[in-house]
Amino acid sequence: MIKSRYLLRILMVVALSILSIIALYPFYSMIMMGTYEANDLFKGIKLFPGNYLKENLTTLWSIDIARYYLNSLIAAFGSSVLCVIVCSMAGFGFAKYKSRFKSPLFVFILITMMVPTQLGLVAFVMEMRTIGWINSLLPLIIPSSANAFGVFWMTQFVSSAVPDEVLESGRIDGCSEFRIFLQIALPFMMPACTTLCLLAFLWSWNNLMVPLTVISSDKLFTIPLGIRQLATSFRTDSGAQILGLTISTLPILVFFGLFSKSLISGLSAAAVKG
Amino acid sequence: MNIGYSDRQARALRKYKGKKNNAFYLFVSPYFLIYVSFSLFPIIYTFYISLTKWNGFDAPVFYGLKNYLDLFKDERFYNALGNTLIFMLMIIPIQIALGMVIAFILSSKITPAKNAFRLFNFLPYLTTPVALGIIFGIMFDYQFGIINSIITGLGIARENINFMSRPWPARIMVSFVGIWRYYGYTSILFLAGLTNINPELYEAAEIDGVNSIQKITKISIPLLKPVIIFVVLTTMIGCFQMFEEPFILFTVGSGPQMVGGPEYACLTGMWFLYDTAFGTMMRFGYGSSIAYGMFMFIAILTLFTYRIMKWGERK
Repeated sequence: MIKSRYLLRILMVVALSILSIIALYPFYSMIMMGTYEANDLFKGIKLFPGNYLKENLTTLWSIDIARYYLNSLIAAFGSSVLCVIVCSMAGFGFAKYKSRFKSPLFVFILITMMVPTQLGLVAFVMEMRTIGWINSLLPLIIPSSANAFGVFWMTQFVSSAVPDEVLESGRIDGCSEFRIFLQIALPFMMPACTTLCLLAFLWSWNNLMVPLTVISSDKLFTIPLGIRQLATSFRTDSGAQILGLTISTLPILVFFGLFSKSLISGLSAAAVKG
Repeated sequence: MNIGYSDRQARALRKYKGKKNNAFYLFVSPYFLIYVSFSLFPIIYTFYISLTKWNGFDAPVFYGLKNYLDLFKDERFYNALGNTLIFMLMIIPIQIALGMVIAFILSSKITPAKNAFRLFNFLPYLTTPVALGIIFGIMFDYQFGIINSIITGLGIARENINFMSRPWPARIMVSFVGIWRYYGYTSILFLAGLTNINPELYEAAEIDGVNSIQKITKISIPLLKPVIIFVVLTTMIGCFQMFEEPFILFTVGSGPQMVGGPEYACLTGMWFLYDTAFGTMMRFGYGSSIAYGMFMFIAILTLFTYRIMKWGERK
């Protein structure tokens, strides 16, 4: 019995290790390949660092990766903060107030969770053209802040985490409803707000379709558009291209990795409650 | 609870009773304002555009259902639809199997370094898909890619496979990237489902002399059914929306540049829509009819799947 348990444990670790290697290898190979000269790159598989890192970095100097980062940061930061504001307010409203239209509106939100927003892509782009938001970061910030999942999740969270008694005590002291939300309820909602903020940041950061259709000026390129540009302009210089890829993905990956616990808790809430 | 309010407090409470209804609308209105203007309105207006012929500059010409009639005659529409179904069939079973196995291993008490393993498998979900397209393009390279070295090294194929230029290998490549990106995410969903199961159930089963395999098949998997349904439905919608992986693999990588991959084998609904309205053509009316045509099929299919999966439950 003890022996088979031991064997099982080894088997499980081996299985997990193989999967982890499959998960990690592309990142590892990306980092390694960025240190080779383009001609050397396609002579066998690179498992160890090469000696061309400095030259590749010099080549990349002409590309404005810092600007892509800045644009992506503005878009992702703006959309995630706005998303938290909009969704926490709506979640609080749904969880703590009564209204005749409350349940039909909530059902409406649940239905829209299943309808991909890309369905309206053509009209969305035309709308952006009409109101003059083409070639601006606004289409990446404002529309995505109304996130149905965010409202659904906030409503669940507020119902269980914000006690009615503390809201009532605020009312007795004569606070306005908005101040009750801001000063009394919001501190209870902080864990959910952090997670939603991170998720919205992640989704915005990795989005390709919206920037691809509304941004054409390379001054406003976000990281995904920048990578695409990079790959095209360094088509022949694969070493520099891959180093550019490393520089534009790795820092943010480390950032997301540090907060993975919070991200995971938000994502798993969707499946268990949904 | 009632401890006698002061006059001021009583006044405040009375005032509140009057404002209660307005407060609900105050809190939910920003959400609905933004949702209606930037999501719902475009979705409805796209349907109108689908009934017109429009290049985006001149006034749209009303076309009735002609776009849809054209669509149902367009070979690429059936390619996109078929590919979406193929991707669903290739991705969903493997995704669920892998996700569950990892979740079971990670939920076991005897597994070491759980957090590290969980993070490793979660990293692909966090990575910008555009970058993945380029890296996998290199890994699947015909002559120098590591995938071909492994395949020939293990003797699965006798010679290198050209993933970029043959339909089925291309589909396998795209599915592989899709699975690779999402299996860790799926395992997290299953893990959350497993931790939600009442441990007393397992204890009770142990007393009845149930072995570990039976515990998984008779307790865990049936109780994971809501998560399985969630994963199946979201992956189906995800396959409908799939765009970045094939788009980057076939338009940016080192291989030949082609819309839809070899013989349109990797053309997805979103790519077909993007290419028609914003890529090589500027046909907004036709592009809109693609969005609705594809969506209707996928919505019916998803609903049908949901019914079947729920149906078994009521026995």
